[in-house]
Amino acid sequence: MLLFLAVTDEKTSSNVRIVIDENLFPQIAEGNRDSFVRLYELTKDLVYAYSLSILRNRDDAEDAMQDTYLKIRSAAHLYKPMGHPVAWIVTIARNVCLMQLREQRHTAWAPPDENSDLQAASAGTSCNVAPDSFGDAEDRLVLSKMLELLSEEDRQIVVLHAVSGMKHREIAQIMHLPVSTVLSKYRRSLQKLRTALEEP
Amino acid sequence: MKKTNDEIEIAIARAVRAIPHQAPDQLWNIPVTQAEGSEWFLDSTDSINARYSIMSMAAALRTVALAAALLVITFGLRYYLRDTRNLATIYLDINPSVSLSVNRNERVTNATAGNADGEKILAEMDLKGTDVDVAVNALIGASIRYGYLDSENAILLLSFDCANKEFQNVLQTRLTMQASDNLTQELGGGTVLDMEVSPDDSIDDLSTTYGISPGKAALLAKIVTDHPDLSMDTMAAMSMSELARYLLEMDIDLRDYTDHHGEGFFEDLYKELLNDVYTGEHADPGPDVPHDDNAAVPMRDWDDNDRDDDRDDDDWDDDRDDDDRDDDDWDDDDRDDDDRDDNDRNDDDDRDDDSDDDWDDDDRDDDSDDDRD
Repeated sequence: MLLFLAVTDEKTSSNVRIVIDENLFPQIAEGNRDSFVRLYELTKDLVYAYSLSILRNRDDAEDAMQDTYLKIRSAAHLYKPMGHPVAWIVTIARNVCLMQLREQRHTAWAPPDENSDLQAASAGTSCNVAPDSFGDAEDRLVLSKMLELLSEEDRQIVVLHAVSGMKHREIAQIMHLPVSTVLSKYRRSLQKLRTALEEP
Repeated sequence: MKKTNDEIEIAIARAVRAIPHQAPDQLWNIPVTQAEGSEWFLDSTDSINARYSIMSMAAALRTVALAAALLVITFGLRYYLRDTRNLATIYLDINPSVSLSVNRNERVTNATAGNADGEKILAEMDLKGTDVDVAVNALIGASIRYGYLDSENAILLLSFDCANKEFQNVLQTRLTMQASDNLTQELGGGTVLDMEVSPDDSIDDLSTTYGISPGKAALLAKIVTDHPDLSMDTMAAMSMSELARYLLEMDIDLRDYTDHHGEGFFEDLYKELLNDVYTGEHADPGPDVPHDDNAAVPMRDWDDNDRDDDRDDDDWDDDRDDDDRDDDDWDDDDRDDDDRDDNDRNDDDDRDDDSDDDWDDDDRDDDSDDDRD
């Protein structure tokens, strides 16, 4: 019976789970700017991180993120409220990233350094953000190792779990993978990162 | 640096959230074309919910298959372990308190004393593996030998805790009848009280607090619910016969709270109590009625439904609530007439004979040959 129980559920991420009011979509479709801003603020980090996990380039990820939100605006009237708004958004982001990959054939990733992160963040954007708002160096290292060491599927799994608080079952549905595969990949990925981060 | 999985995830999330992005206003101001639904970026979005359902169904099917495999494995283990598994618990309370765990083959798997008297009678026997009928009879026999049960204290409580009601009904019916027969054979009579019990936390607490079996605890809890003025402390310390006597003096009959076999104990107990009422310290002397052997029988008409004894002219005991009366002036609540005297009487509907000077009332016992009911 313990085996049976182990398959059915798992602990969610320690991060806060993203909760979206499905009413935002029809409001956006009707031209409600505030609803769009609300949706953007709730999901931008997830969409960006997910795009980054696929494209492994911050500029490309930023472009993909922006394109994703334009697509959401154009298709908001088609959203069917069935309780999975995050999955709907992430699926659109995935399609956008894959299309971008096909068009660019670009998968190179440059090792991070203090200045390159800041330059990459400011390049091609109109944001004027001070360097110290770019986050902790140790956090950036973990993110860098994740992007460097893990496969595309593993990266997506770890990012979706870490940034959105999605359950493995939901991640499996988005990625068209069995839950057991997602669980296994997740565990191995974290193990790999732990090992890499412990190395001097 | 050494990090846990959670710390790694938190670091990734923090690093992502620290990266600045374009303001949403700029995205809002870019014109878009309304999608029709077949666009490439909507691939797989339609089937998100369907996939959830299909995955849930597939997961459910896999779960069912796994559960079926586990059932096959555990069923074999259960068959192997069936003889050792407890199917019912029987609590015997006299003053010794003993609990018997019984398996599906009606054999005792464990016998536990609930108090010091229970330990005393269990000490001389090993009931493990014994047929439950034999075990219960052995416990009753030991209780008789040690004086916990005798002809004046021939009452015990059997409580049954069993999830399988069919099994419980069979055991409860058979064991209580056998115990009752045992008491009759050994002591000339007695009463076996029996009840179903489903111990919960509150009953277990009472059992533990008062050092009594869950069966007795459940019984006392029911009594206290109906009679909150009664003390659990007092009743828990009593043997079953003491408890029955104590309660009956307050017109509380244990048989109202349980099933029972055999009336012997309570019949004797009622007789005992009645004797106390009429001959003992509780005897009621009756009204002070003056009499003369040669005097005419007082003309009265009364109806006494509470009297058991025969009465004659000279000595009788009146349990009525009527007022005092004399020859000349009396008031009978059962009669329609108000006043009467020797010369002036009125008949009522209950009277059979009527004469000016003398009459007989069926309800009066002024003739020694008459029997009064």
